[in-house]
Amino acid sequence: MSRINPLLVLLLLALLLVVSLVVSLGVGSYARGFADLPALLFGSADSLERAVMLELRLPRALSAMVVGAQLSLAGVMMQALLRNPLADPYVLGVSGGASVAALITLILGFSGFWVAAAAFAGAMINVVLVFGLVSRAGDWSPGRLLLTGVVIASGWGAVVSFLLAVSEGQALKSMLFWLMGDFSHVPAPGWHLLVLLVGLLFAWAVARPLNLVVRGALQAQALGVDPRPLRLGLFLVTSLLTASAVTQAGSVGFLGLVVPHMLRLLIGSDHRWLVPGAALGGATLLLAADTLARTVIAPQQLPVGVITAFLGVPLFLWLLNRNEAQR
Amino acid sequence: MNAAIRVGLHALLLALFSVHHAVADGIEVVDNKQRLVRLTVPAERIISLAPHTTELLFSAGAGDRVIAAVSYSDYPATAKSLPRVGSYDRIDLERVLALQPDLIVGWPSGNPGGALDFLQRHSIPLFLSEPLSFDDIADNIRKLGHLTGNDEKAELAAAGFEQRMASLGQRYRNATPVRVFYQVWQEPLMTISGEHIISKVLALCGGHNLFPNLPRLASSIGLEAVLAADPEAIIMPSSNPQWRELWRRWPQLRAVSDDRLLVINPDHLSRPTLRVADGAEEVCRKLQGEAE
Amino acid sequence: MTRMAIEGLTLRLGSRQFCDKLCLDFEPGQIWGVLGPNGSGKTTLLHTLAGLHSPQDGRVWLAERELAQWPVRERAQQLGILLQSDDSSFPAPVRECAMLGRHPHLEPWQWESAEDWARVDEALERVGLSHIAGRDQRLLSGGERQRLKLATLMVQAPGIWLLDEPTNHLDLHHQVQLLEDLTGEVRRQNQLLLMSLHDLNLAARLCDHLVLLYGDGRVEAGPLAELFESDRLSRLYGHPIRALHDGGQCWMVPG
Repeated sequence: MSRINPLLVLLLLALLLVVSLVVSLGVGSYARGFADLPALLFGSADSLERAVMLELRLPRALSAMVVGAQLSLAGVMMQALLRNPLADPYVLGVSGGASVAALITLILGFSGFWVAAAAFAGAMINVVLVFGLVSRAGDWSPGRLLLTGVVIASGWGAVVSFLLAVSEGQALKSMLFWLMGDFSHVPAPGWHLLVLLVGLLFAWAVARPLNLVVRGALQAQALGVDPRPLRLGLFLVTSLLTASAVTQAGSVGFLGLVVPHMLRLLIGSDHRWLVPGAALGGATLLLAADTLARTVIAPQQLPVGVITAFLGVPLFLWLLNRNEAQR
Repeated sequence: MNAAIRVGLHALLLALFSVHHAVADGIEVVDNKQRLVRLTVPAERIISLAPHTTELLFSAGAGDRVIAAVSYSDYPATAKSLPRVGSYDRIDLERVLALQPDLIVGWPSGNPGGALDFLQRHSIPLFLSEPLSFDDIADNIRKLGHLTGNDEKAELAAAGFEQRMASLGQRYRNATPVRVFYQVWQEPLMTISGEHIISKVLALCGGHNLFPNLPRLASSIGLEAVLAADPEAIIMPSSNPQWRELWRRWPQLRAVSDDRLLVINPDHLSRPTLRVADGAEEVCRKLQGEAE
Repeated sequence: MTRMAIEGLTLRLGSRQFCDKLCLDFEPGQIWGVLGPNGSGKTTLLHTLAGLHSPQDGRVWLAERELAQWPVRERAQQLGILLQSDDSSFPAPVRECAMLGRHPHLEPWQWESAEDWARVDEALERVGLSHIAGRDQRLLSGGERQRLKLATLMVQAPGIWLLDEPTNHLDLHHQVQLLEDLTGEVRRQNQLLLMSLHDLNLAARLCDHLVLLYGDGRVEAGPLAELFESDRLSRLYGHPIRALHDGGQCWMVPG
């Protein structure tokens, strides 16, 4: 498993993120050359161009970065928590709870802030539900947690299907767009950025213990890590990150599963590198995907989830193949 | 015979032979999918598979023959009490068959293809309605009237509609052109293509649809694209204040600075029916800034 | 050097009783073999000694403090265990896996030093994995995996070694060579080692003390010389065992 220096990978990812940000700010229906970017960003003119830049493209780009980082980070931690490389942030039903609540508010004719607030509340209801069931059983093993979460997520899934089945017309369109994830109406990240920072700090602080936890509770305990408080912390922080991400942009799929694996292939399994790497990689991928989503068939818009899959699947398969060939 | 008379005669003959010629062996019309629909006697038991077809049937004077409809068939008010056979996109076929209709009016772009195929296989007379223009609306009403033996009443309704639209066209022929964004929905932001009947209403009133070339009748659209196009007026069929707030965030926009965020009655233009005339009158009046 | 003791230890799993109010002292410099048939509680006893399992009753002492009172990290500096099952579906190079053993010796924010890496390389050398130090752990064979676990434990360098079936998956050569190397080192350092074994002759060769778990609550413990006899072992396993004498050495063979 010879690989590139992890620090170099992080620096490259950071560079890629900056490039993605510049491109994202520079392209759009309101075409303007990159040369005008500084003037638009830092100038003082009260023009529509400047408003488009500061109130549309910039908040949207920032949100895409924050959500991408949150989901990828949550993916890394969820996979460690469940010791399962197939886990994603939604596996314990957080997005299911959020979806049900959001769809109900959409059916009732609300939009914008209320949908987001409902989504967050739904996600939190799910957290309390899973937490309550698991702690009643007193069994925090990955198997028990996964089973509980998966069953609850399926329950939410059934409710989502029901809500879609009894809705029609425009509301249905809104609901499907929400389910696929969409950034066209997000405000600037605000407090969600704080959630990301808390998540990052937590993940980085427990990064080395995470290396042990993925090898099982007994092994972790034998090597000096008490897995129980760590598991609980992981559960709560991933839930919070996921809830925050889903609240902003709906359930953007795929990212939380694949970015952690991509980064493992690039910089290995040491969580001290993986955590910042996944945050950078997820931010870059989702920003790039959203830029494409709003420009590829402009003026029409694609749901960003479609693009993350279009970008991510071939990229991931290529990395996987390259890695197989190397060993 | 001069040309005008020849054309008129030709039209008359065409009308006679295409619509009325088969009085002896039944009633025949061609629907919007160019299918021949043939009945031996006027339909008595009709099921309507779309809200707009229910409305058209009532306009054609056949409201009392409609025995069932799909949900959201809410106009005219009497249609609300009709038995339901599901929604337009999920039809209870067993119910439809059990009611033993002698005519079904379907909506090809809204009903599931499988359900329509099933009905055709069971050789229940099926009229497919997809009005894309003002003429289509009038034509639909005439044909539905003919299928139900209501030719005179239908003709009256259709001609009245044509006349209202024609006079609108006359009145706003020289109206100032206005670049319009028609907002179908907020999240996702959606608008209509030039093919949509609403776009034709806009054109009638001197409005110019900013996105005529979208591939589908209704498509999602980027907010930035709308800002870039800088519409002079934005028409929205919803009184939800959030819809207007979205635009007020952009005071530099022409439509906002000129205070032309126009809220119209959501019911009139949402379906291709006679109420399009009401909607068109409202759009024209508001777009051209006339008092009520 | 650190010693361990158990006092009034009662272990049960479901309806099975493994030991009842057992008291034992484990002194530095001793090598203990834990013997008994399947399901007699060998793993449960070792897990209890490692603090991974809470006994129904009784206490485990590590040095002058009760085991449960030790903070996990400090405990892991004193005491290490080779677990039977340790698998991970995540990719990681062999060298990084072995480095996990260093965890209890590092401060929370501290990174591994060159000296730590040197320990890892030395341990991999000792178990004969140097040539595949960069390989993904998921691609190891059963025996290689077992040796990696042993190397990880060497990197942890505890004063008290608990080995649960260390011979699992190992070929004859590695069984003898690795365990002789390890027990020799433990004796030289005056440390303590307990391991569960199925091979009686290997136990005789490596250990100086035995714990015999009968699986029904009866336990016998003491110096090898007192316990290593065919009648007793026949009773332990419920299978006739004969002793063959060959030049001062005694070999147990199934009858």
